[in-house]
Amino acid sequence: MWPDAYYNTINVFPGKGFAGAEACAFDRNAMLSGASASAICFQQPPTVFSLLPADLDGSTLPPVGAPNYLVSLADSTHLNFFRFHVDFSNVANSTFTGPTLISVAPYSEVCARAITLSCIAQPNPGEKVDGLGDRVMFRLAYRNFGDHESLVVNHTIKAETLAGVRWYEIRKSGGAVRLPAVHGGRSRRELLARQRRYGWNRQPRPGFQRFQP
Amino acid sequence: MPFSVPQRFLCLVLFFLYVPLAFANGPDVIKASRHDASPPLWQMAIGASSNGGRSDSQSPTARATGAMITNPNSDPVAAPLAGPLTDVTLLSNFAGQSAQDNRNLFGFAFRTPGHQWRCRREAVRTNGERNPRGVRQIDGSVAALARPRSTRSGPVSAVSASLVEARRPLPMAAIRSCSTTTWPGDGWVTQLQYDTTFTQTAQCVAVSTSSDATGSYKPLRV
Repeated sequence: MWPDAYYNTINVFPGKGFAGAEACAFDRNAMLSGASASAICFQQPPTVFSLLPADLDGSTLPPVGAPNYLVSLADSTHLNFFRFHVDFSNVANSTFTGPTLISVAPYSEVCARAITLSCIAQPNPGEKVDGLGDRVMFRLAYRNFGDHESLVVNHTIKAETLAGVRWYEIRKSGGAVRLPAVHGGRSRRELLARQRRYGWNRQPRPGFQRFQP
Repeated sequence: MPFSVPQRFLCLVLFFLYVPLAFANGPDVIKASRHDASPPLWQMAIGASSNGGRSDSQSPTARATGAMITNPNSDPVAAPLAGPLTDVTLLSNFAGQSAQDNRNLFGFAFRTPGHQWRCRREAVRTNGERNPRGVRQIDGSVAALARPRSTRSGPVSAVSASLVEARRPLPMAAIRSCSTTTWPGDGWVTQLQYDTTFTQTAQCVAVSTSSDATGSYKPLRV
């Protein structure tokens, strides 16, 4: 949900291979007025997977003309950060820029993707379930606080032999085009590393913290 | 000078080779092929349509989007827990989170749901300091909250927090609730709780004791 469009992303599997994630913007104004609507999409290479578009919170809108933001996992020490600017009246003006790499603390996925999908233990007699650690989890919440803009997101990581949930705040302040910085990036959930239980997908408790350089 | 046949062929090859590449990073436009509107929801109820007796089950095939991300270094954020857990009922809760986990993470533990539960009014905080930020986390969804400016000097709005208790199956009549007064911007934690035999469930709610959403929490409990 964004002021100028509804944003949607998919992982594209043509045939048996993986083509990469695709991000689409649907003409929200046309849809709300009942008019025929179009979608503008950008296909990404296979190195980009499981994009998560920003979802608007609060009554203060993003700055006029602000692009939608998207985040995905990049590697074990980075997040991908993208900007999606859509222009339905002049398609050629639409842009999808990135990735900007955001450094994060090292992490590992808890379950192998599509190989050992189910690795999270459940109480007896439950079967193991997928950790979904190969993607950032819904939602990428955006809020404009007036003096700064923030995005919060979380994902499941491997915490020693178990799982934990890590959250990030990505904050932008000042001018419209600045490299976002990660604030926080730690979670008490990761304290579960020494517990005999998994922290998978349990309610993480993210919060906005003061900047910690 | 006119091009020779081989030169024309070469130009043709180069055209089809490079033109698609030039537009490879451009947007794809999907036009609506049909302007459609769904029927009312009441017409979409289960049993309202027939699939001709075909099975409605699916068998999706898991496909990987890439190699598993691993890092040889230990997670610098993880830290060991300290302190024993006492006087807490060990229950199996939402996604396996236990009362012990709650104790270690939040400083309290939700207790066994049952008839002995009753609501207790929490004292209204009167010294909520201004803090425009908060975070709400409900069943995996994160929401960033802002504290309205109009509430700087007091809790002008009393938000009802429900402590729901029910036995399986979950008739609405079995659900009860209690309320507390919170400040806009307070942090909330909720958890669906059930016992080891899955015969009792409860929705547990905790509210931060200050406007610091990363601080301590107070559960709405017995």
